This record gives sequence, structure tokens and C-alpha cells, in this order.
Amino acid sequence: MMAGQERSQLRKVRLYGVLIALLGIMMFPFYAMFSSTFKPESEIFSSPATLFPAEASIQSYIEVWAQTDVLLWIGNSFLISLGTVALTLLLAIPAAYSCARNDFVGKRSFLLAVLVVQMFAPVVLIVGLFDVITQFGIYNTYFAVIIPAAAFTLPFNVWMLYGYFQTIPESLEESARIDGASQRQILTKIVLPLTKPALVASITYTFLYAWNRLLFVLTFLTDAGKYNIPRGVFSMVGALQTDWRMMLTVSVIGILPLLVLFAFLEEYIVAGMTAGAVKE
Amino acid sequence: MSKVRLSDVTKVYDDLLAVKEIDFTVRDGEFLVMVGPSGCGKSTTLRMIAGLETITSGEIEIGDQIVNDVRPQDRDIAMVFQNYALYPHMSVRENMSFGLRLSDEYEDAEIDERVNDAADLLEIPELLDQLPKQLSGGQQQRVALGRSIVRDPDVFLMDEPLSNLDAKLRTQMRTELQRIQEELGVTTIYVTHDQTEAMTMGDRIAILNDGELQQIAEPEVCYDRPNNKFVAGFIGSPSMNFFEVDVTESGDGVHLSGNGFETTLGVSLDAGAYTLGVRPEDLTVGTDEGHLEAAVDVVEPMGSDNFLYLHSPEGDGEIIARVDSEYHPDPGETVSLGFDIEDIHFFDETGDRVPIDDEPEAIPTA
Repeated sequence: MMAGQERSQLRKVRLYGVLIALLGIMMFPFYAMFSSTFKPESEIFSSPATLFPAEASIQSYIEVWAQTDVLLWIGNSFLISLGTVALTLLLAIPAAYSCARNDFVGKRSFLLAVLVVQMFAPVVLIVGLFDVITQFGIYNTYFAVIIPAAAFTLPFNVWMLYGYFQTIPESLEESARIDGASQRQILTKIVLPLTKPALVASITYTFLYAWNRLLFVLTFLTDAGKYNIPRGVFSMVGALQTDWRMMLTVSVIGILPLLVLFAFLEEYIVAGMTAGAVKE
Repeated sequence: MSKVRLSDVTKVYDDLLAVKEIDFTVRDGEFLVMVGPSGCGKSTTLRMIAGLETITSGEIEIGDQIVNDVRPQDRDIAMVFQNYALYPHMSVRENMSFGLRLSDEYEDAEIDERVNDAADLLEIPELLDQLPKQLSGGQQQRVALGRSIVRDPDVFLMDEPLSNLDAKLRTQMRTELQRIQEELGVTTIYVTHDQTEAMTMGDRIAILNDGELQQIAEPEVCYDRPNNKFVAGFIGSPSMNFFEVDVTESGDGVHLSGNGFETTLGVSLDAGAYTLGVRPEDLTVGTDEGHLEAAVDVVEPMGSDNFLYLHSPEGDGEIIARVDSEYHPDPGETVSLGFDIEDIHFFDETGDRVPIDDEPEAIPTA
């Protein structure tokens, strides 16, 4: 009896050991970034590197606050991310729902095409996109970033929502129809509330994707007042010198809103990740 | 309350004929059970009445209105689904009031009153604030029923509503459903594959097979005078015994031969090949002179009575007899099987019932 208990204790210790080690490997770059923001410039590149700042100071935060438009960048990041999320869901929900609920000619091809499109890296298409965006007259507007970002997040979202919609029993919708609900009411009152875990996962993925976009902002937005966080960080790369400490500080500030968002949505994200894995 | 009339209703999926020219009328306030094996078209028929499936041809009337092109929400029906289809994100109260809230006909106070009344009728008032996942199968089933009741529809449609319950609860809910239906007096169409449910619940039963209506009549009529061999075999448990026999005229009756039979019966019947049907409970087993000799294979005690599984040395197939629980023949023992001529059924080569003597004609299916 004792031996059995000890064995299971040992198993737990080993399991947690491995998990903590993995977590350490993943978290270390973030820690390095975070701790560096409290070091003076000279200490960041000292060799051997220091684990803790020798003289911690919040000087870099004060400098970032005074010398950069970090708040504006965060605001722009939010604007671009929320716009992308809205546009993506507006298109992905009806596309996924109609595929999940109807059989139509070319459905398979459509879904496959959606998947194939995702295989192109944005950089491959950037020249063509530039052409399209100037033709539409949206160059140097937020739409020049929101529309391409939505285009690249759509495939994943269509597929994930398609899979999730399929797990919602059709009889629920039939029951609602008999209860007197219109198609729009069925979607808003029955289907979407039940899709919440998948929607949250979808929102998170899209939000993150748009938040971190540098390429589109770099290519399609020239007005410094429209920069997002990554573009703001990039603007610190100078021709002659790069202020690493400031870059790291802006990065830290830039991920804070995401951490808050994740903390709120964590429960749903986990549910969404395993959605459709088993049929209930 | 309304009658429901189906006229030559047909449903074709791609090239599959699911329902073929079904024609019957459900009377106002009647409890009609549609029964048949899987894939017989009973659920499809119900879904066509609900408006969830389109009709390929024919007409469906609810009340005095042809509803072929009327949307489900405008048919004034309520449906209970096999999996209950409760909205998982809504409380029991919200589930039950969902339909009423969608319509702007009702004040909040009236909605509350109706939900509370239905909950009282179903004995679930304490569950109103719970979520469906917190309920047992039987409670979910009551909520599904409650959702239908609050809407006070013209017609109840029920698609195998008891099949997800365990045996004991199923029996209990059977009587419960009948009580509620009687109390409300709403025309009800109930689909099941379980012939016991059909026999015990229906004012009348409609038996379907391969998309065709086989018979619609009171349960006793379907049992006593099945329209055809399919109905005869489907209704009753254990199933009716069938014997392929040759009939020749002889003196004041007919002579039966084949499958172990060499006997004369006092009935009038044209000569030819027939299927003779006898229910297990109509077979008398003894050592006296009977109509057929058979050897006992297995005795299955059921408590109230015994099922004997026998075979005739010259015949093919198993014979089942339902006998008194006191009677315990040894396996291998040869017994004599007898029956009254009122209790036997003859079917022709197409499977249709052949009336013997002056029995009343089968009731037409319309």
C-alpha cells in the first residue's frame, strides 16, 4: 500500500518536473525581455549575461513614455485587431454555418480551396496585395491592414467554426424553428450562444494575428500616426544605432493588453482548443 | 385541436423512395401511433407533417388548411424530439418559454403562468431554474414535453420520445404521456419502433413498412385481424408463427399439408399455397391429438408463463408457443400443437390476408 502511494508520488514529482522545465524553456525569453527593461543599456550586452538586473531602474519606462507614441501604437493595434476580428467573424460565421448545414455543389472544393489559400505566406503575395490596395484607394488607411489580415485569418476560422457548427445537433435548430424562430433568431439565440467556446478561440487567434502584424503595416501604412505596436518597435531600428532597451520596453508594454485578454478568456480558449475532438 | 389529413403523401430523396403515397386521417383529439421498423418512413412522415421536410407529392392538411407550403413555425404544432433537443444554454424555464417569448402575443405574466401550469402538470416545478445538463434523462424528457405543452398547439408530434429512457422509466412515462394527452385532448401523432408502445398508447396505430402504410386501425384490430403478413409478424411479442402450407379442398373443409401439417380444418378456402399464421399464445400444447407434431428445443421461463421453442421434424424454422408457467416439458420431448380455427390467419402469396368464413373485411386504411 505504502509502496503504491510512494510510486504515485514519485510519478507526480517527475511529471511536474518535466512540466516546470518545459515552462521554464518557454518562459525564459520573456523573462530575459522583462528583466532587461530594468537594466541599464550597458548591462544588457554585458558578458556573461546577468540573470537579475544589478541596479534595477524603471528609467527605460519613463523614457518610452516621454519619447515615444506608445499609447497611440497600442490604440492603433487595438483598432486594427478589433477591425480584423469583426471583419473575419462577419465572413467566417456565415461561410462556416452554411457549409455545416447545407449540401451544395462545390462545397468540398470550396472548403479545400479555403485550406489551400492558407498555405501561401503573406510575403509571397505582398506585391500583388500592394497593387490591389492602391487600386482600391485604401493605401495608408487602416483598411489596408485590416482587410489583408482578415483574409489570412479567414481559412482557419472557417474551418474551425465549420467543425464546431457540425457538433451542434440539428434537432436544436429544428426545435427552435417549430418554436417559431426565424433563421436569424436561430443563429443569434441558439447557434451562436452554443458556439461561444469556438468563437472565443477564433477571436483570440484573429486578435493575436492582427496584433502582431508588422509586414502589412510596414508596407501599406506610411503615416506614423497609424503605427501599431510591432511597427512602433521596428521604428526604433535606426540606420546607425538600435535602442534595444527601448525596443524591449515597448514590447513588454505591447504584450500587457494581450495578457489581460488571455486571462479573461482562458477558460473558453481551452474549451475551444478541444472543440470537435470528440462527438458528444 | 385539429384533425390531420395526409393525402397520397410521397417523399423521394434523390432516387430513394422514402414514403410512398401515404393516405390517412388523424381524428381531432386522437392519439395516433405510427410504428414500423427502422427506415420504414415513419419519422420522415412525421417530419413532413412538422414541415421540417418538403413533400415530394401529395397534400397534408392540419385543421382545414393545406400546409404543404406553410413554414413549421406557422403550422401551430409542437414537436418532441428523440434527443429532447433542449437548448443547453437556457434554464428549464427559458427552454419552456422560448417559443412564447418569440411571439409578441403574450404578456410576461401570461408566459409565467403557462410555464408554471405546465410545470405543475408535469410535476417539475422545482426544476424550473436548472440547466438541462443538471437533469436526469426522465426530467429532460418532461421538460421537452413541457416546452410543447406551454404553446398549446393544435397538434403534438412526438418522435420516439421515450427511446432514450431506461425500461422502467419508459413504462412509467408511457402512462404519464397518455394521462397528459387525455387531459389536454390535443391531437397527437407519436412515432415509435416499439410495438409495445404502439399497442398500449395509441387510440389507433398506423403500421408502416418500406415507406408504405400497411394498416391503420385500433390496436386490437391490428392484432386480431392483421391486414397482411408484415403486420401479423410485427405486432405481438413473441412474433406470430408462420407456416407455408398447401391447401386442398376436402369434404366439408380444407386439407392442409406441408411443413409437418397433415390435417383437416373446417374452413372454406380456395385451394392453393398459403402462409398460415398462429400466434404463440394461440397454440395449445399437449400430448393429445393436435394439428402438428413438434419437438421441444428450449423452455424459457418468463415467470408468468413459459415460452417454448420447438421445431417440427418435417418443417423448417422455429415455432414459439406461450404456455402456462406450470407446464414444463423436457427438451427433446415431442408434443402436439393445436389451435382454434378462430385464432388462425391465412395470407396469400403476396402476403395479403385471406379472410376465412364470415370475418369482417379489413378496415380501409383511409
